[in-house]
Amino acid sequence: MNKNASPGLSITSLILTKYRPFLIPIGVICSCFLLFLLVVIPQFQSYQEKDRESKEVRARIEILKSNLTLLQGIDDAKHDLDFQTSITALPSEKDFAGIINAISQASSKTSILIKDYQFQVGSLATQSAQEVSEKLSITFSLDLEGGIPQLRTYIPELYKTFPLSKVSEVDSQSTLSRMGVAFFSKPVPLENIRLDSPLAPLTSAEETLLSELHSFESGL
Amino acid sequence: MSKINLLPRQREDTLKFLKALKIFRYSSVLAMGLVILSALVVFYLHVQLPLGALQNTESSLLETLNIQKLKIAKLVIMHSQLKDVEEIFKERSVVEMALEEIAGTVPGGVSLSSFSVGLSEVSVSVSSTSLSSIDQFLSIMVDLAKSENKKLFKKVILNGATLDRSTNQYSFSVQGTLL
Repeated sequence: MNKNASPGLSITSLILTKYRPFLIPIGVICSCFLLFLLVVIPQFQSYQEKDRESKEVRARIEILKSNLTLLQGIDDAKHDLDFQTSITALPSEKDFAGIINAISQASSKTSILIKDYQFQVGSLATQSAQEVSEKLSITFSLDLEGGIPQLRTYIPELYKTFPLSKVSEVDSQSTLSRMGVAFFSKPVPLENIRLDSPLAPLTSAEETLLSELHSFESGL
Repeated sequence: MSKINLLPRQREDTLKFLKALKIFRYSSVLAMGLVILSALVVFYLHVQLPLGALQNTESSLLETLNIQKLKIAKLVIMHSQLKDVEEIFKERSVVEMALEEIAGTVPGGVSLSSFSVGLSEVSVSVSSTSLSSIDQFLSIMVDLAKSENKKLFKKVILNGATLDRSTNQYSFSVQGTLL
């Protein structure tokens, strides 16, 4: 009667008596399996992660080293002068005084009278970090006294005074001309500058452009 | 011929039991060995990783570069500014070219009465009493659509040619669609 009432007890006592020598090997196998699953595998995964991180750090170090080599080869005085030239050519802010000065300076140098001018201002401030990299422009509409010959002397003079201007439209009659000129500026994206981004030296095309801008500057 | 088992039944069970126990014991030793071996391999892999040293090198390089941050910033800004300058220079050459190539090469006897350059087209109104001068002017315009090194237009259209009989003057306008 008692035997039928507790079959679990008889199985347990059977295991503890007859199969007792198996308990330790089974326990060891289970523990090893758990150790492998809970310790060895996560540690291996952590190794793989660290290995990947090491590769990334190594790549960054290579970039940093090449950046350092590049910077060591730069002549500071020339670098500063080139920077000044590029920032003067394409100012970081809308330079109204500079624009109006350039218009009148070109006018007085060519003796062409500006009868009237009006301008359209684009966005005054950038709204997002993405827009920071975009160049901005103000378009001036100039009414000049004179025809095509006067335009042909005025435009090159304006380009010399304000190199980053662009005549987008011209409408000329015999004694009166109207032209649309865009003056550009570009905000400096200081917050996007990262030390571990690969730096490139100025290309020969950029050097040529800079010397062209230097010549504009010295001509002022 | 049938086989006869000479061992008693109980003895046979004991042998099976001992054999199974032996297998379990060996398996447990093998499992332990495998876990220890793999743990040692993983430990060795962790130890030989140079991550710490690399991070130190990186931070010392970053410190060195941080001193020259202004120089880097200037170089980056210069690249960006010059890219835009180049773009603007390329774009603005269209108006200059139109002015030089059309207004600057008008043959004698042809007078320009109006000249306009828009975003996509150039429009010129001219008048002359000489048909040969008009022909020369039209050749210049056509050349600007055909010539390889001075190509400015993709299409040139002659509009509204008229003749004023009192002055014997021909007037017409030419429209060129910019490339």
